[in-house]
Amino acid sequence: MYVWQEILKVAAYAVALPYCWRIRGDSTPHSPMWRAWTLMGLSALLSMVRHSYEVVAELGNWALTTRSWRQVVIVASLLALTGGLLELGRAFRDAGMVPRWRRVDWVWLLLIACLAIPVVIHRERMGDSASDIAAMRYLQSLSSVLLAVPVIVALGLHRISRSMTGGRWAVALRWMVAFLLVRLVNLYLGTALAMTGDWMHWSNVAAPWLFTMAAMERWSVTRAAIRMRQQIFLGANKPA
Amino acid sequence: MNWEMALQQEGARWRAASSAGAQDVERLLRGTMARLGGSGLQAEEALALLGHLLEPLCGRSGAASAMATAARQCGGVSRRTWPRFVTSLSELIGSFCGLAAGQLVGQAGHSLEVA
Repeated sequence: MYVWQEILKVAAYAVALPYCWRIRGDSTPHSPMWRAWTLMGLSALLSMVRHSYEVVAELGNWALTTRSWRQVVIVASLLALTGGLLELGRAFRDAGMVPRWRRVDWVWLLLIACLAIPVVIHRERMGDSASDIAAMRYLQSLSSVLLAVPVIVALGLHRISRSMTGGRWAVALRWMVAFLLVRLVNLYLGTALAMTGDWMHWSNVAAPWLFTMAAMERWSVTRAAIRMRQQIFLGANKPA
Repeated sequence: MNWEMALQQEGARWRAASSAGAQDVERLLRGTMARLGGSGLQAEEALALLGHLLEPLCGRSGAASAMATAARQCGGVSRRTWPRFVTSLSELIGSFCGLAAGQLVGQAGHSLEVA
C-alpha cells in the first residue's frame, strides 16, 4: 500500500509539472511570474524525484541511513517552493495588489507557529531521526520550519485572493494555500501527536493533488484568455 | 447614443439571434466590439468594458487594482492617454495573469475608441 501511495504522489507532481511549464511559457522571460513558475516546476520535479526514491527504497528494502538521503531532496524542494511563492507575491505587488493584513491574520500566524514548533520539539519521532548521518537528522528537524515559511507566504497570497473578489486566479491561489496548510497539518499530526492510520496516509496522498489543482486552475486563466481572444477577434472555433 | 441604449440595442440583436450557430455568435461578438468602439465611448464606459472582460480571469477587484495602477503610470485616463493606458494595462495584466490575458486586454483596449 505504501508503494502505491508514493506512486500516486509521483503521479500528482507529474501531472502538475507540464502545467507549471506551460504557465511559465505564458510569462515574460525572467519576470517574477516566470521565475515563480520555474521554481514551482522545479519543486514539483524534485518532489517527483523524492517520492520515486521512496518507492525504490521501499522495494529495495534499503536501510534507514541510506533512505535518509531523501532529506536533501525534500529541503531543496521546499526551498524552491518558498522561492516560487515569494516571486508570485512579488508579481502581484508589482501589479498593485498588496495583501491587506487583518487582525485575524495574527491568529493564523499563531496557529502556524503552534503547528510548526511542536514538530521541532518532537523531532525524535520523525522518520529519519535515527539516521547515522547527523546532517540528515538536522535537515529533517528543519523541515517543519521550512514548511512554515511558505505557509506564511501563502497567508499573504490568501489575502490577495480575497481582495481579488472572484476570478480563476483567486481560486488557484486558494488551492495553493490549501496544499501548504494540509502538508503542515499532516506533519504536525504525524510528528507532534504521533498519529498514524490509513486516513493520515491518504491525507498525505491528497496534498500534492491540491498543488496540481492550483496549477491546473491557473492554467485555466490562460486558456480562458486565449478562448475569449479567439471568440472576439480571430473568429476561430476551437481554443489553442 | 449613450452606453445604456447601445447595450439595449446589442442585447436585442443577440436575443434575436439566440438560435444562431457558433460562427454566427462569434461574428456577432466581433460586430458588437466594433460597434461599441466605433461610436466612441466615455473613458468610464471603456474602463467598465475592460473590467468586465477581465473579471472572470483576475476578479473584479483584481482588474480594478490593475487599472488603477496603469492609470497612475500614465497620468490618468483620457482620450489622449488611452493608448498609453491600454499598453500599460496590457503589460500589467500580462505580468500576473499571463501573456495571453495581456494580449487580450491590449487588443480589446486598442480596438475601443475613447471620446
